[in-house]
Amino acid sequence: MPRDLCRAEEAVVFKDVSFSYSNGFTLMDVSFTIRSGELALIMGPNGSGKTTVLKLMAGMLKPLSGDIYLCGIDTRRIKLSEAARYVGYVPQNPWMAFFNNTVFNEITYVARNTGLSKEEYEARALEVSSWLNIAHLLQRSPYSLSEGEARRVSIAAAIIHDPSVVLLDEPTAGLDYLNKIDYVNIVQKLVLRRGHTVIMSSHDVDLLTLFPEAKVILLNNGRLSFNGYIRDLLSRAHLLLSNNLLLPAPIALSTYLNELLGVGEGSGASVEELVERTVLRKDVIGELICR
Amino acid sequence: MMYRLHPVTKAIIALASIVVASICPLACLTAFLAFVVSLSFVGMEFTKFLRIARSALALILVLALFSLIYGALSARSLSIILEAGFTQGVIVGSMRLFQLMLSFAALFSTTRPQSIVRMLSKLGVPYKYAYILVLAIRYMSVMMSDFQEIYDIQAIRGLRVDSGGTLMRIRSTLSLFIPLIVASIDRLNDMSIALEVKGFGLSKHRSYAFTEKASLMDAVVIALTSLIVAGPYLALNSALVK
Repeated sequence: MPRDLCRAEEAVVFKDVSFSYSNGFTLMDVSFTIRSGELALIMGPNGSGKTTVLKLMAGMLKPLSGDIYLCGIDTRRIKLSEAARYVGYVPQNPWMAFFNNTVFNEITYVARNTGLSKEEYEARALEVSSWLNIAHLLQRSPYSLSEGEARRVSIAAAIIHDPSVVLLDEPTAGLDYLNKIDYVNIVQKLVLRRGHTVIMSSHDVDLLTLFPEAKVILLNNGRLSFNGYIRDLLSRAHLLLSNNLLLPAPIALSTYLNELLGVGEGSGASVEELVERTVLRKDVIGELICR
Repeated sequence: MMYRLHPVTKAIIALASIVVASICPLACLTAFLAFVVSLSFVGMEFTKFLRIARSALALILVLALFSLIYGALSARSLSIILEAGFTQGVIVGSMRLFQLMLSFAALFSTTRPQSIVRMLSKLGVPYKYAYILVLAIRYMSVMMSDFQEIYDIQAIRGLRVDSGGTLMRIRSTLSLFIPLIVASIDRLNDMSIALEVKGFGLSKHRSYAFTEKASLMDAVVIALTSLIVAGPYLALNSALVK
């Protein structure tokens, strides 16, 4: 299996990476590591460099200075088509990748390119499509799919050859809440059940509460603002605000309530006092929750 | 300075360059080339001028080399390259091409697309068609960036455009062009709806929030252009009259 090709403990290593586009956007001295089997979120406001980092990881872009290692291999020394063995890439717009006449052919495209036998890729297509609940779509044209279906097909096409690293570019952009939760479940299964290293770029702060164990790489204006785990980031919530990101709704609510009721850490308020204060401010709290 | 020139002035220079490239004698060509080069050198950023000149010269060099090789092959003799007339022909041809490329590059790289639309409207082209033309020019860069993105996405899916048999290569090319066409149609559809809801083409008499005004500099540049292009013919005409 291609996933076995990646024996490095660290799936992705960025070492003092700098990059710049001709339009002037620059990524400056970015360093971080993502361990194999880990879930990582590349977060930041629009134009912070999330997609650039994702493309550098995949080898689509080459760094101006610094080093990037994908499964221990320097991305400068590997052809993009070779990197396909290690990476599954799910673009933000699934239709940018579709060109086959059926979903089955679309899903099996990478598997055929990476040299899997017919029996092997047919079996894998069935397994992956039933896992993602798209088995009934296999003979349909990719252009007849709904947004949600197209995204599932896009994931299936990226993981059929069992890559070590799965890169998802803005996966929840434009999805409603239910579809987002559905997508989150798929991502969690990718990491926990299938053992892929999953790296997502997003500016959706809700993901911080939906993936509490994930690693976060926070970027702003091409610079690294935070590199650590979500629990550490949420304990320093001002970092999100100073990087032009909102607080996730539950965190924002609890922060407001703490301030309103004066029950932060070390306040020493008893449960009775808390109930009393809540009753006294019930109108304000109700309004806050409605908002 | 090139940025401050009226778009019509720059269009006149570009049109004059077609006349110069087609029928002007060597003296007129040399004078016009010197005029366009100095105008571009003084009028735009040095790096931009250098980039345009370098790309034009690279293309001309290839064409000149091709002409020399083709000439030698046609005459079945290498010595033709050393003949003054042949080499001069290649040099003059290169000069004609260079001034043509520089004039048009100066027009398009120093004029905003909206100014080009206004200029074409002033020249009598219906607004709708002028806008389509400019949109097509602007859309090229969008398509180029879409193509690059699709190429990267397919490459990370293991696509190899440069290997395999003919059928395999055709299939590889399809994997790039089908998504590009679909994405372009989608984008054009969105764009046409966006234009329609903004009332595009509702009235034949379109007004503009801003219109470029000609200055004394424009008059000087147009006079110089006319003098260089028409000068030799005026001189010839007066000599014939005498």
